[in-house]
Amino acid sequence: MAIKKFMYLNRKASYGTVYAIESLEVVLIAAAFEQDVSLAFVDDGVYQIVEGQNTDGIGMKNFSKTYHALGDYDINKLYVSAESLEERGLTEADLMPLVYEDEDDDWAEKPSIKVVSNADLTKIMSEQDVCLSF
Amino acid sequence: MLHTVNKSSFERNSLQSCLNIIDDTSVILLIEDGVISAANNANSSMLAELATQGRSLCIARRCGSKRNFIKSCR
Amino acid sequence: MKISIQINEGPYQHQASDTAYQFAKAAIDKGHEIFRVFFYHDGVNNASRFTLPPQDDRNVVNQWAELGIKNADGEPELVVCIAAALRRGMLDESEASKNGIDGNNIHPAFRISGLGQLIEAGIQSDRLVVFGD
Repeated sequence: MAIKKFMYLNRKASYGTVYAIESLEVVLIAAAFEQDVSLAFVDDGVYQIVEGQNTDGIGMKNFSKTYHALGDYDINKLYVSAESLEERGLTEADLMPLVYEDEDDDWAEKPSIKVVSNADLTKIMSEQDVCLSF
Repeated sequence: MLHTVNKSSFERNSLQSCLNIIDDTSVILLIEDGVISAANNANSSMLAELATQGRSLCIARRCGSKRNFIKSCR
Repeated sequence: MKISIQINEGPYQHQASDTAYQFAKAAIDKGHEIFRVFFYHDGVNNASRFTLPPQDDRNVVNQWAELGIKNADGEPELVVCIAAALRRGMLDESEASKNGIDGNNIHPAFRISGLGQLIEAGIQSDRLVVFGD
């Protein structure tokens, strides 16, 4: 099977709408197809991977832990818009410590999250073959 | 890449959000409520700024004519 | 070109399904192939065989059905995501019987399948166009 570059673009926060969890479900299935997968978090999408989510008060499933599994599925390119973080008073330190083990570097644990400028994200997006927007 | 924007810039920041991640190879197509952003009488500094940058937007003809707005694709 | 479409919203509530339909029709008229239309999120509601819109308005479900989008084996390529469908109470005969539900509501022009069909559509098609909110 040809390998294509797939980008999953997340623009909305978790819980207020279903897009975050159902986007994650697509990504987990996509892992089985061995394509070149990236995730992008822009605008309120950055809230999907903020650390310390607690849904006790709203009676909804807290699915934020599932993002930690992405590394095990070789999904380790999670691009986060620097401008979107800044607009919301967030920094990289507010995000979940998502990691993967680099098989080309003696399985060293490395961060999957890459905070990039919108300009750099634009370049990354232009290299994609398929872009699914949620 | 083709970007479609289907929300009015008065309702949501979708158009601005799109403008944040485009380059010279991108095409933006306004569809559905997105055509409202291009209305002649809309007070949108965003479009004025785009014009000074020499950028142009495409507007889906049927969506534009249905809403009685300009319809053009440059 | 081989084009696939993803629809993320239900009929009538959002224009997404209408726009996608117009796009699909225009693409077919220009000689392109619609490889697959994948319905996700509330888009699964486009497959309901029980919708009864007013007589003087378009019937979104029937419009899709009448496009006759199928593959070479004659199977429908209007595909409804099973996870999203079950969550929202959209069932075909097989899922209804498996789950002890005494009714099913998926229109025969659509078929239920997994998210893998969406990824496969992205791999096999020249373009994947998304219509949503």
